[in-house]
Amino acid sequence: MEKHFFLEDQRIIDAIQSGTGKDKSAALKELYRSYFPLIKNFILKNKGRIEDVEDIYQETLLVVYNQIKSGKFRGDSSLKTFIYVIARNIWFKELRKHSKQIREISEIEQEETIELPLADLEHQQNKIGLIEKLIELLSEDCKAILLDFYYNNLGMKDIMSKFNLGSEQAAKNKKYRCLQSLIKLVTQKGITLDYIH
Amino acid sequence: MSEELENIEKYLSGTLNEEERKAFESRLESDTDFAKSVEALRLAMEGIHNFGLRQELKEIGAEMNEELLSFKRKNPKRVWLFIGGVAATLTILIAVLHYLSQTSSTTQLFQSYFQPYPNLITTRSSDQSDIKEAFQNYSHQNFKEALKGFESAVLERNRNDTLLFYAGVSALADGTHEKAIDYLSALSEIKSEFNQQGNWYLALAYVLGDDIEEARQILNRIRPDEYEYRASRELLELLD
Repeated sequence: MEKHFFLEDQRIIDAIQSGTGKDKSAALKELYRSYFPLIKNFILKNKGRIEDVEDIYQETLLVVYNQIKSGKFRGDSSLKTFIYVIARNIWFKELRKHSKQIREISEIEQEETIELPLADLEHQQNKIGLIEKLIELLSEDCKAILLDFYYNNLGMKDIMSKFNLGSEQAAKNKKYRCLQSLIKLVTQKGITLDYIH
Repeated sequence: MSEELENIEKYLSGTLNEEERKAFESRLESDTDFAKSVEALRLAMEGIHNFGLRQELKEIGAEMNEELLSFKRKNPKRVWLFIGGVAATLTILIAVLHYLSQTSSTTQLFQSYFQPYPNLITTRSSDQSDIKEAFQNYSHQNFKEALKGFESAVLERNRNDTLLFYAGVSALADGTHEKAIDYLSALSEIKSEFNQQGNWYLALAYVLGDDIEEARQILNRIRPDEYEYRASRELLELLD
């Protein structure tokens, strides 16, 4: 996609940071489609197989999206470069896990241009990855309600009618019970313990 | 408890007023258990967010794959079009339009996946002339004649596997799927270097005969390292 991409970047960043749910989805889709070929080629050229591409790319965009949303991406580089660097890091980490050809990889690694606080990021990602697995353990209803409230930003009224709950208060209670059971799982697994200083 | 959660949520989303926030933060410093529940909730909320985001990304990916696949389905003969040049392009397009207007969906499926297997058999001068002729007809795409030749040869030579295979493919190319099924099932019962190819064509024969269940069973048995695995997966999906 040839365009004045810093301008385009700003439009996507604005949508993710302060847009409506619809804007965010549109921005995410645009990001996905714009840079998929770039990352696909990169992975295939670096010992990756076509089966690796989707997972790595989705993991990359997850990080990118969250960095944009939280304002940690400051636009020091173009989004394209940013996505590329994140994808490299995730892919090389994956390769290191599975491959013994570390020497070759570290040779490629020297091209690295942008420094990111990745150790910290990785630690966070791992922990949240665990929580995502715990969410899978919740009932379908709970999963859907929590997603609607915290991800899709639906109000209690909408949740009440969508899930056939008698009143807004009942919806609220249900949501809290669901959140409670998730937090119970989280603390049971001791996920937070190492995080408190 | 629910109130406490609500309070923590307000803090995390920055909607407590100044006074409440100060009270909250001083408790956070003095009460380790409280700090732990705050952190647990923060992580839970972030986890839910990532869970949703990941789902959305997967949906976008699936959508793109679907578009890609439907593009391929619409263009299954791309390679041949290049080879055949413009004249062939036009001929095939007209033929496809013709099929689309006339034939049932399984016949269309069959037409988009069926290619006669290449003639890999070099006949020797010592071979009997009826077999030679059959292979010649096959190479020239005179499948009706080829079928006749292979049929009589099969009877004479006690179900030779190569002849069974080419008889089956000729029958299929000629559009007589019952015969194709007979020959290719017979082939599948004996050990032959044509077993993998035979299965693929047998599945196609069932598609042509509109016996979807049988076709599916055979396609499902084709393993990743076998002949036309990729096409068999695609076809399976289309048969659903």
